[in-house]
Amino acid sequence: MRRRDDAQRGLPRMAALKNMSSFRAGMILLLGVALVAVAAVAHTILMRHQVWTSLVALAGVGLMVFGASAMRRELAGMLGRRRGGIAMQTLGAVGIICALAYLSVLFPLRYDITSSKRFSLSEQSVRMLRAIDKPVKITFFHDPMMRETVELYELMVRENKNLSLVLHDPVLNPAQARMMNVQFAGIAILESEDRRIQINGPSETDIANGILRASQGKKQLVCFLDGHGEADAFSQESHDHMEGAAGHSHGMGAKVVLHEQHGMAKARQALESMNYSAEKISLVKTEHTLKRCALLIAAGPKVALLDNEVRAIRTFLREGGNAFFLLDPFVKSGLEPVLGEYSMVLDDDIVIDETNHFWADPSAPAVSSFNFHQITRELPLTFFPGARSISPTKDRVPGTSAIPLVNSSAQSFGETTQDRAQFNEGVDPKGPLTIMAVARRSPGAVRNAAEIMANLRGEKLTPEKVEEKLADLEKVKPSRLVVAGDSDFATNSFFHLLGNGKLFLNAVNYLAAQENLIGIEPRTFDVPRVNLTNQQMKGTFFLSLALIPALLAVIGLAVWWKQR
Amino acid sequence: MRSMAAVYNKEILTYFRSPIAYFVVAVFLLGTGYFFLFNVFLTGSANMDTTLQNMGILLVTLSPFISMRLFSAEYSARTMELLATLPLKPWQIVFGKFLGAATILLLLTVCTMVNLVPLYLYGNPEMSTVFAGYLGFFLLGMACIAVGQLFSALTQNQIVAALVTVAVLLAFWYVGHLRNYQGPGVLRELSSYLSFALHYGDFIQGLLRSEAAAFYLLVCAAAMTLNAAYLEWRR
Repeated sequence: MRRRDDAQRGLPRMAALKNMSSFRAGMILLLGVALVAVAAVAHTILMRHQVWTSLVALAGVGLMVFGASAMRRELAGMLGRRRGGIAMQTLGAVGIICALAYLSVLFPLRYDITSSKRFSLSEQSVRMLRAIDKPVKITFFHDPMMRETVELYELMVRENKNLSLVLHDPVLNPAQARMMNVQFAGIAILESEDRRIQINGPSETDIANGILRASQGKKQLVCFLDGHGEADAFSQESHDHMEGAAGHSHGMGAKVVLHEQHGMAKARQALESMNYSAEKISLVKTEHTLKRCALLIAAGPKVALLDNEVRAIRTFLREGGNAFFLLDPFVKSGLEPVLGEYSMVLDDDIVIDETNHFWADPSAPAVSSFNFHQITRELPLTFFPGARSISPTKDRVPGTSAIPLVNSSAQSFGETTQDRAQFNEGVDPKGPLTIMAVARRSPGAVRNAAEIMANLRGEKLTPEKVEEKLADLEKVKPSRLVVAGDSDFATNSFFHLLGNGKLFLNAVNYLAAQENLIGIEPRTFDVPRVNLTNQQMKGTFFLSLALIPALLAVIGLAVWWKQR
Repeated sequence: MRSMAAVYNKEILTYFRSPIAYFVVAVFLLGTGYFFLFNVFLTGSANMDTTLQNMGILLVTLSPFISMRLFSAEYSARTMELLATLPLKPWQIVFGKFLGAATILLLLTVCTMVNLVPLYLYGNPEMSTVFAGYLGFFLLGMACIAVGQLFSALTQNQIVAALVTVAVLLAFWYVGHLRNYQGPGVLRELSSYLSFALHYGDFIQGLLRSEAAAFYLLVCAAAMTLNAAYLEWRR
């Protein structure tokens, strides 16, 4: 009797104990879930792997397993019920859908069905990319608007396992951008072995050529002309520029001051970081030194070049060489006839811009809008401390094209006298004045090319001489020339300020990259046009906007009326 | 299959007997016509990409008015119990109703193609791009209807169903903008992936992507799975 009472008392106690243990197990399970959630949130916020988050997650999983195992009977009971089964089946189905979505992203297929194939790579690019046999790491800094360019990079990387791509947004990841010395979205850093190349262009040609250059071991040689007081590419010297200080001016002060001490080491170092090598060369001793150069830079010669030096440069350009001339005001460099062959004339003036200038110096014109060109793409404000202007020749030399890149404002003028800065009507040329220009010369020649060039040099030509000159011109190879009416903007004192450095490097890239370029035709497509007559417009209006909507509205009204 | 066809037939009949579908399609065509004329008259472009882009936004805002009645009307007419007791599996009901709404979507799509007539007669449009755009439009519409159908099953009020669906679909449309904000890479990738607008943008430019097509189909599948599970749960 007593035993039965004990048993009766024990049953609810057993149930209570069981409930208590289920409750504890449930709490442990929930604690485990909470810890895993905390670890996931912490990992999301920190955006990097941490040991403690892993430990917390591990502890969470452990508690979940323990709790679930302690509650296995209750859980099995819940799942065994109808709604538990539905929940599990639904979770399973949603899981499968998520897995399929992940697989679809992992193994994407794409079909470009546009007639111009504007979302595909050209055959030349694909051929070139497949031939790359060295690893090239591409770090592309982009913003959300650059989806097409990102895709272009992704397409290229898919063509060769040697190519790898890392994407960063410089706004969201400024530290990475700073570390790689990147200021703007749209810049890619290409690294291969010890080479490092920076490219700005978003086109297929720009990217493909950048990859090609990065993968090639050979460095391009940039030659700095020496021996005429040019800015020294190996000199670190620079000035503190307290403009307005007595006796210091790059342009119109008491007189023009030429800074012979200015070095160009900053520009040279920037070039070397972009896989160029730099050398100073003198053309006095040997005229054939230039053959090794991918590019010649004459950075502000203070005295005129000798005839044989000019001849060497002319030969270099005729054989397909490219040059960057930075020529200061009121200095006779001896390069004037060479420029004439590219349809350009150096004016004997200094640009004074009272409206747009840097600091307090009106002879340092500042320019914020540029003519559209690869060199001036996305270029910030740039200034030129003491610049001369460049004009086109009276007659354009056939086979050449000269394009102004940088112009001073319409309020500027070219001061032709050296001792004052005052506009003289009819004497000083009015702005806008060209401070920097780019020119190209193509092979082949036409009859009047020889005559125009002879006129430029003041020569008199006999018919035989014309034939001789023409034959000579036929041998000319394509070459490029960039001329700036100032050298200071690229020297150590000003290279790092505003857009000056970028302008210099863009010009060098434009000139020197050419010999490696693969010829990819720029992808263009015409937007199909439709030109409608008045009657056709009326018909289109009626068909598109009135006919079917009105018909449907009438039927809808009829249905509504009938229902009513 | 036959039971599903019965649900489908009933849906189609209900659509054609209700004035709402006619008015929704008419308003949609009015909007489409306006955007098309704007494109042709003002820009002179013989392309459909701008029109299709605007059609996408219109679809996101108007398709919930097609899907809103799929289940909500059954609740308010008290026919849901009858439907639930028929020898039909929940997925058959869901799929049958979805096909009915998709047919209206197909009709709507075909009606908008009237704009291609002047484009083809007086211009020379790139038909492959137009085809890709319409494919994207139909896939987007299917996803919108599946989501709308789910919310229609969750509420008895048709207007609530439509408004919630519009809100959710607009969120799907604009979620891609979140990739502009500071955040972990995974979340940014996810916001791009979930964006209706980004996937649709590829289609209308003439780029067919497997992941974009799969995305729309998987959204349909997920919404219909949840819908069927909910019906099963209610039984």
